Amino acid sequence: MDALSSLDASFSRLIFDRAARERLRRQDWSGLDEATRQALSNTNLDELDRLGSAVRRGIETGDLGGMGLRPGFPKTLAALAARTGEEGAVLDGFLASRHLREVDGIGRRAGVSMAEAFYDWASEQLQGDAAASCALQHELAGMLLKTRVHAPVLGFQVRTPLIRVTERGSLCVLDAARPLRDAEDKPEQPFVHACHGGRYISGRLSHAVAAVLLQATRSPPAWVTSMLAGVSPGWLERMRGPLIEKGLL
Amino acid sequence: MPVPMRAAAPSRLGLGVGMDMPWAGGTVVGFDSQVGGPSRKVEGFLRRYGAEFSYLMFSFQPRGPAAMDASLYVPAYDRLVALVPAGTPLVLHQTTLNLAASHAYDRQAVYRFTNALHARYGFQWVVEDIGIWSQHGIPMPYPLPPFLTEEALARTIANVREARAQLAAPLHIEFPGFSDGFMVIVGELDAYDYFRRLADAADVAVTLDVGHLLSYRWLRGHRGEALFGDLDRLPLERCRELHLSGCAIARNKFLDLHHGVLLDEQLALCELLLERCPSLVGVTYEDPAYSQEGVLVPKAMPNVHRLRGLVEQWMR
Repeated sequence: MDALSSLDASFSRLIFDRAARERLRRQDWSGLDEATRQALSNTNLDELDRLGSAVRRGIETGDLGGMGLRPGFPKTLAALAARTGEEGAVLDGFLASRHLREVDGIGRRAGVSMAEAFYDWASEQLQGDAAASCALQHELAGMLLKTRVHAPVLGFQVRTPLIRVTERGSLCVLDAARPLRDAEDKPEQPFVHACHGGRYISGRLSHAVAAVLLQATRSPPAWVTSMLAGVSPGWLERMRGPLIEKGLL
Repeated sequence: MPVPMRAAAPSRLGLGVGMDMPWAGGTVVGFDSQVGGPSRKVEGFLRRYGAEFSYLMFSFQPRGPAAMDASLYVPAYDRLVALVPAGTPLVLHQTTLNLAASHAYDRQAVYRFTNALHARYGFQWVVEDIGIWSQHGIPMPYPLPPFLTEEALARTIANVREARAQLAAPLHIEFPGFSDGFMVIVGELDAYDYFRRLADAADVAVTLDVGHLLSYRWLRGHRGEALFGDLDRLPLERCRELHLSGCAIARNKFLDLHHGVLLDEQLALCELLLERCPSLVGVTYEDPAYSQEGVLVPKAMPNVHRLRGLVEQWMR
């Protein structure tokens, strides 16, 4: 790593990682090369703290990048806080993680949203906790699809295969009872989050309706194809009718 | 001897107005997200004063998580531009070129977006402060000064050269702010020297924000007349535009507040720069403060009138 890359990496850690700032306050310069130490020798640590706090607050509220984690993931944040015993430590953990580096909050579509990066990090933290993981999936789906209502052309990539693109929007069929293992997993109690025609819609639905909705996406799961293989065209039309009326197809 | 700039300076425009245009609710300065156009407050101001300014500069600020896609912004910008007399010259203040970023930062989407807007609005120039506006994809709450190191200067020169070549409109680089209380200074180069070397090496026109210059001098411990010192270390011959936005001095801190009220020190430095910048084209009063009805706040008026007088004298 050249001197500038090293300085830049250290600077990033100091902005996003509270523990790194605290180490510097203790005069712990370990891990920093000589050129970086020299460049940071006159840096005002109080101002660095203020900057780090402002960045954290902006990510939490959505003032930076427009997708606040606190309004978007209330159940997940509560579940994670209950584990650590300190609410502040949750966001600090995420901000210090590698997942933050996947974000493009500038609108260039060069990375994922803050919401999806947080989801990826929180999924790792919540392994083994089915209820919290289930809430996490629903909160991500709700956040991404509500965002799509207000920003029809998103400034970031959506990488999770749980979100599926349709001709008129996007939808995500999850399970109300448990987290889906992956995008092929068949839900026990289907629950849809959808953005169609400039509206966000969510709610429980039958397997049959879920299958009809998912069939209209670009990448329906295998269980949908299998379930609809034997149905008559008339049945399918009868199922599609009300969904078309509601603007979901 | 610096390399001459590629394009000849256009004729003097006079006093322009610069508008910060964030997206929020209807009562604020900026765009009203609900209606997709300028807020009532902005509308009131430009209807009242738009004809009194010789050009309009507005800032690009992202509409939440929307893509940098011109079609999402043009309807609002059209409504903004319609508030000033037809033919009013326009300037775009970019905020996403991120020219002082030391990490890999792909600007192709920014160039495409800016060039699409330029094709529609024919900007006189595009300006952005030399700063770190985002770090590894995360927007910063305010632009941070560049790393004042030799290696970072070399990277920024390359960034500016690329941007100048890729942008269809002329690029101005703006001297960054060093407002007290918010600035994380990294490196030891003198910022005036850094900026001059950058402008010369990248062969680019510059904008000098008077408050930003004062904030740097203040940070370096200068007071009184010394605030106006060392101007020869700046690329004055490359300066096409001055910016003046509201600043304050409080509790021995220099604050770049953008609150519309200009300091006497800003006018004094502006007067010096009007004399010493031979290629100057315009002076921009940035982020005026006004009431919900669009009337300039009384506290701002005296020095705005003085600024107008200085510019009128310079135009003669």
